Amino acid sequence: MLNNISVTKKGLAAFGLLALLAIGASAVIYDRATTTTTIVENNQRIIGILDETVALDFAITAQNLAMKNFLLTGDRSYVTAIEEASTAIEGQIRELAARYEETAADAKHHIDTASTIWTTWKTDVIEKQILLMRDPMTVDLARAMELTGDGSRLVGETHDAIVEATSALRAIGDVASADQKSALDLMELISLASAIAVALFAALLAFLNFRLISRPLSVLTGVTARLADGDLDVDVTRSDRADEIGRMNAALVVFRENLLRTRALEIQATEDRRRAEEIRRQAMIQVASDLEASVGAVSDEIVAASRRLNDAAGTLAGIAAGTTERAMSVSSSSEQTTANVQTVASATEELSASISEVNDAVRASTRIAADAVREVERSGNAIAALNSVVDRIGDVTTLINDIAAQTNLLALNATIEAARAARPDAALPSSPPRSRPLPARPPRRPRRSSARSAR
Amino acid sequence: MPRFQLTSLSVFLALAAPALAAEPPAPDFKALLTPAVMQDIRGWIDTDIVRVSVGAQNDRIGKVSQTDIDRLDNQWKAERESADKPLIAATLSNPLSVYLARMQGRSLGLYAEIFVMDQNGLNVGQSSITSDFWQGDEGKFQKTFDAGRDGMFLDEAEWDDEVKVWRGQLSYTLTDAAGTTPIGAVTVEINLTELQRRAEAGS
Repeated sequence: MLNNISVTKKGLAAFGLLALLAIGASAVIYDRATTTTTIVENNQRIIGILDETVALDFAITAQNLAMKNFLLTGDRSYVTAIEEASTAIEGQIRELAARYEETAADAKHHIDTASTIWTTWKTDVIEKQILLMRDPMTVDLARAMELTGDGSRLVGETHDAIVEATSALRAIGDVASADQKSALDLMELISLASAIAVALFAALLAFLNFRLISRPLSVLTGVTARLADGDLDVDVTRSDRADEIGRMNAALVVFRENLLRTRALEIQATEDRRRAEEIRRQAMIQVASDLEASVGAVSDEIVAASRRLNDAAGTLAGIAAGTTERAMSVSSSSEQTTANVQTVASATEELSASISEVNDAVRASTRIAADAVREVERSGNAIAALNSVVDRIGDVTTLINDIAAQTNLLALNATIEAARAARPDAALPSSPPRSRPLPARPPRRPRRSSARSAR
Repeated sequence: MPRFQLTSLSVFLALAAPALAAEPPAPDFKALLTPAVMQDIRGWIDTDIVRVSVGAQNDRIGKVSQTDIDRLDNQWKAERESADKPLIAATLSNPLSVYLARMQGRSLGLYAEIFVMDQNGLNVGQSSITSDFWQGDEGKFQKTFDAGRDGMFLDEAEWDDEVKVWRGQLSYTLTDAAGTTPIGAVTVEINLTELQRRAEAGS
């Protein structure tokens, strides 16, 4: 269940509980301490009153002693002291009665009793004795009054009442002290118990923190570090926790899966690249061999064509020489001439056909060369060789063109001569219809071929 | 009262004749004891000091047994012969004794001895040291306190050869302030010779 509460909430709950525990203990201790403080203050007041009560007792005892001294010695200076003591005692009694009323109302009646008895002693004994001491005849009566014990009894009763007042005060103080002690005992107990409780609770929280957060976090940190190092063999099991740790765990699972996928893709890509390289290498080898073969074939063809062209040119030269020789005797045999012309014409046609074949061969090689250039840069040498071949073909073509022009001119002249011989009165045609396209065609072919090879 | 008068008279008459032989004739005690003299005596006897002192001792001692009384009386008699006199000193130093001594002194020889007794016949105060502490066995107490609140006893006059005077003891019952309850008794020994001289001088 705890695994499904977020770490933040867990932390808040833990520290909140800890704080509540501490606040609770502190509140009780504060309350007890306040009570104790009140009791202490009250006790201080009681002690103050006790001191004043005892002081009253002393004052009355001192007054009684002064009275005895007066009766014994007859020294009237004691009378002044006794009367001043009376005034002081009356003041003390008033003050005490007020303070008892305020702090220890239950004990006040003792002070009232003491006050009443003392007043009786003062008026019925002391003042009477002092008066009797003024007359020599009654001096002994004043002294004899002491024999009755009335004065001593009254003083004793006053003292007893005062003692009872102090006892009552002490009882109040004792009760307060007992309360104070119990409050302090409780405070001690709570202080100790809360300290132990806080320590135990803190230990429990620390344990829970270790079990629920620290250890999983440590495990996750290790896993993360290993994943960061590329170790995909690390065990990342999916957690059913719903808190931050669970989410981190889930993220790490996803992270590992992604890493695995990336790793597979990388291997695939490397394989693909290697295969593509292989294919390309094979293709290059193929292209090179093809080019070599085609260029070899073209060269062979060109050589053959050139040979044939040479042969044809030789034939033409032979024909031309024959034609020249025959021209001289053309008049003698126009049919022979016509036949010769037809022979020339057919030879020309053969030549034309040869040239056409050469043209085709050049075009094919140019295409192959262009393809080879596009495909492989390294086939430059072959292309350069091809270019030189093409150049040579160009030269051949130019040669052929020149030959053709000359042949055309010769043919034209032969035609003219033939026509004149056949029909001396008929107008000569401007140009023979069959041989007219011949001079126009050859010059174009080498240009195309060179244009292609340039690409 | 008739008994008292008769007894006094007979004692006086019995003692008068032989006394006259060697000494001046015994004075008429009863006749000398005029109302004026009685008034003077009562004036300083029937006072608070006497009543207070007697009352105090009655309260203090209360009714005691004869054994206790004898013990105290014997102690008194023993102290008379001894240097250590705690009981006598205590009695003689109390206010009543001081008062009675002063009254005796003030009388310029008229009163030879004064002592006051409590309800037991024990001394409360005295102007001088008496021979006994307890007077309960004597007429001065039995014929006064025991006789009631009005009890009065005139003892027979005695010739004091040492100072050459006639002495006569007057005793009577002491009552409380209201005069109703007996509290003790008092004995005043009078110098009858002096009393007689004053009576003659005054007449």
